[in-house]
Order: sequence, then C-alpha cells, then structure tokens
Amino acid sequence: MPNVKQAFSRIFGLFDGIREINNRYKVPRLKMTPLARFSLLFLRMYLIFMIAVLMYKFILITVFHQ
Amino acid sequence: MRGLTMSIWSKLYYYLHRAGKFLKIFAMIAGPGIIVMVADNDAGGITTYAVTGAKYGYSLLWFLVLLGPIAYFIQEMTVRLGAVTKRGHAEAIFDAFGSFWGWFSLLDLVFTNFLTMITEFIGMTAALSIFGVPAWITIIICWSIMGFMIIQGRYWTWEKIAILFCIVNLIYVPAAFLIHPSFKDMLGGIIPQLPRGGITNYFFFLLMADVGTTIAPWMVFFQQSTVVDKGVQEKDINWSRLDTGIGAVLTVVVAVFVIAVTGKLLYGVDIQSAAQAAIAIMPINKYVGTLIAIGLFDAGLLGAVCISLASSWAFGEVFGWAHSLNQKVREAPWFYAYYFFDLLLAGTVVLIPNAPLVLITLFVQVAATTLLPAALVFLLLLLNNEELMGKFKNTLFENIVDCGIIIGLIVISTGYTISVVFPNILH
Repeated sequence: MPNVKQAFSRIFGLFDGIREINNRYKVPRLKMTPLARFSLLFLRMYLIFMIAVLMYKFILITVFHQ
Repeated sequence: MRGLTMSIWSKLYYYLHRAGKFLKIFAMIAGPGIIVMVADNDAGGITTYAVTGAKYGYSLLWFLVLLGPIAYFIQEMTVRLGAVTKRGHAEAIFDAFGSFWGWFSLLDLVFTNFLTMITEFIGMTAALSIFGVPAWITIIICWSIMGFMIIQGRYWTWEKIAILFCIVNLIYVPAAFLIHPSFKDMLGGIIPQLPRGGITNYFFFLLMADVGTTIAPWMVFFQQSTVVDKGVQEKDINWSRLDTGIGAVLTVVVAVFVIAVTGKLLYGVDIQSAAQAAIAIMPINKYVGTLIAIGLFDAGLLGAVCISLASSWAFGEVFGWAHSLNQKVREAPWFYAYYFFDLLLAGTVVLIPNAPLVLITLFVQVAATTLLPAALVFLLLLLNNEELMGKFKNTLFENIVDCGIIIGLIVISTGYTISVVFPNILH
C-alpha cells in the first residue's frame, strides 16, 4: 500500500509540476508585434493543414484500405 | 645579416605563438557546432546521400555544397540565442510564446526525436549485421557506448568522445580515395547542372530528401542547449561561429565523399539504404564496403546520442530539473533517467519482431515537418527581439538571408512530407 500511495503522489506531483509550468508561462513575454502575430497565425494554420493531411491519410488507410 | 636572421626568427616565433594561442582558444570553445553538424549526417542522412550518388552520380554535388551555408545560417542563430540568453530553445519558447507553443514544441520534439532514434538504431543494426553481428548484440554495444559517454559527469569528456566519433564519420574520405574517383568529374559536379534524364518526380523527391536531412528540429534544440551547458559567453560567439562554420564544411565533405563512393561504384544500381550500398560494394571492394558500414554505424551512434540528449535537455529546462552533463547521475537523476529511457525504449522497439519500422520512418518525417516551421520561426522572432538579444539581434542582412532560408525550408520540407505520405502524388 505505501508503494501505491507513493506512486500516486509522484503522478500527482507531476501534474502539479505541469500546472506550475502553465502558470509560470501563462503570459507570453515576447512583445506581440504585427509580425509576431502574423507568424503565430501562420503557424496555427500550418498546424491545422498538417493535421488535415494526416487525417486524410488515416481515412484513406482505415476506410478505403489505400 | 645577423639582425635580419633574428628578425625572421622572432617574427616566425611571434606568428607560431599567435597560431598556438588561436588553436588553444578554439579547442576550448569548439565542440557544439562541429558535433551538431556532423551528427546531422546521421544514419538517415548517409542513406539519402548514398541513394543520391547511386541514382544521379556526381551531378547533384553542387546542391549538397549549397546546403552547407544553409545549415550554418540556421545553427549560427542558435549559438547567439544560447550564448546571450543562457537558455535552451525549449525554455526560450515557453518563456517568449507561452505554454501552448511551449508544450507543442516540447512534445513534438520528444516524439520526433524518439522516432528518429529508432531509425538510428535501425541504421546501426543494419550496419553491424553486414559483419554478422546479431541485432541484440549491436543494441547492447550501442547502449554501453552511449552510457559510457555521459556517465562521467563531465561535459568536457562527453564532448571529446563525441568529437572522436565525428572524426570517425570522416571515414568516407579515405573510402573514396581507395576507389580513385575522377576529381575532374567531381569538380564538374560542383557546377550547378541538371542530371542526365532531366527533371523528374524522383529527382525532386531526392532534392527534398537531401534538404530534409540537412536541417532537423533536434539540431536547433541540441546546439542551443549545448552552448548553454558548455557555458559559452557572448565574447565567445565569434569562436562558436567558427566552430559551426567548420562543422558545416565537414557535413558537406562527408556528403560529397559518400556520393563520390556510390556515384562511382553504384551508379545506376537501385539501392534503398546505406546498408544496401555497403553490401553491394563488398564484392567490388571489401575495404570500401567495410568503411561504409563502419561509417553508417558511427553516424547512427552519434545521431542517437545527440538526439537523446536534445530531448533530455529540453525536459530538464522546462521542468526545472538539474540538466547538465557536468552533473553526476545522483545530482541530475531525471535528466539522465530520461536519456537512458529514450535509449532503452528506442533500442527495444527495433528488436520487436514485425515492428512497423517502415511506418515509423514515415512518421518521423511527418512529425519533424510539423515542428520544423515552428522551431525556425520562433528562432527568427527571438533573434529579432532587441530586449532579449541587445546588440546580438539579427542584422538586416541576416534577416533577409534567414527569412529566405526558412521560407525555402518550410516549402521544401512540406513538399517532401506530402510526397512521403502520398507516394503516388509524384507518379
């Protein structure tokens, strides 16, 4: 039982750590110039595009067996 | 007459003294740039060059020579960012762009690095299988070497061992000399030209693959973390630039000489990997075949060490764990634990019978391409932040060159990924 407790406290410790990191870096420190805003928008669009490509491939493999 | 002789001797002494001092300072600061650039020629890189040589002979040498400056300009930015901010790239992204982009970069890096590690182990096992070494023994050898390299608790020791492996990576140079390639043809290949057969889809595919192996996301994270761990200061930036420049030259030299070998011995032969190239060369010249196999093993080993360290450093920076190679295992347990976990897991996956290794190789490219634009764009934005970089921020010239390179890399790596995911698109 103490081992299980220890494991749980470690896992929750990890979650606490993640929460602390999220709080620490909540606000981006970089000044959001128009160029920075545009770059981040581009990266978001690019990410969506890559995910769409992957999902399309996934559908091709699983549904159409291509 | 005596005065003149004295003057010559004193001048000679002066220049030798200066050269000695120059070399001494360079030897102290050099390391991260050479290691990252040579490690860039990992198992996947050597395979791409070997295939390029076998397919197109020397006619694409000019393109590989062009990739040297591209790699230099990107990596030089990481040197300045690391030396000025004293932070690794993962931490810098969290701090500057917030937790969403921070987590995205960290998790994508870790995932991509893990998959890339598997491909390094595939390369190493394939290389030693040529000598009849079973895969499980190769994996144990790799784990032992990689563990020994970092267990010392001294950055200096790790760096010098890594440089030794970088020197072994130059094994392709004597391999090429053994087969007496036509240097006239090689020089001719440095002049931009189209290969025999003209522009085909496969030609584009190989060009994109060559670019894809030149700049990988882990390199950005790795060099910045190494610069920080080594303690490179702002005053050392020019020395680090020289270190990176020499590394870029070495990476091109290795690529050119791999092509020199396969371009001469396997021109027109259909090969899919560097291990296949070594096997095909064995009957022609067993020494050259052996050197190619040793080089492939070394490339995989160096790549695996650097990639695993890049992930460990990134985790350490973000989670606030002790994360220096100058710390003993008991002082930085999580940092070393992650390093070994990565190595053990990647090696074990390769040993699993019927593991989907082809699918893994495919996903490496996809995962790397989702991260590369973010890592490069963040790098550029950070380098333009005056508050952060002060007098070391990008100049107009650097911005023009870096922007051009980054846009080109994003377009090419995206094109490469799409052609890997949808192979029929180019046919």
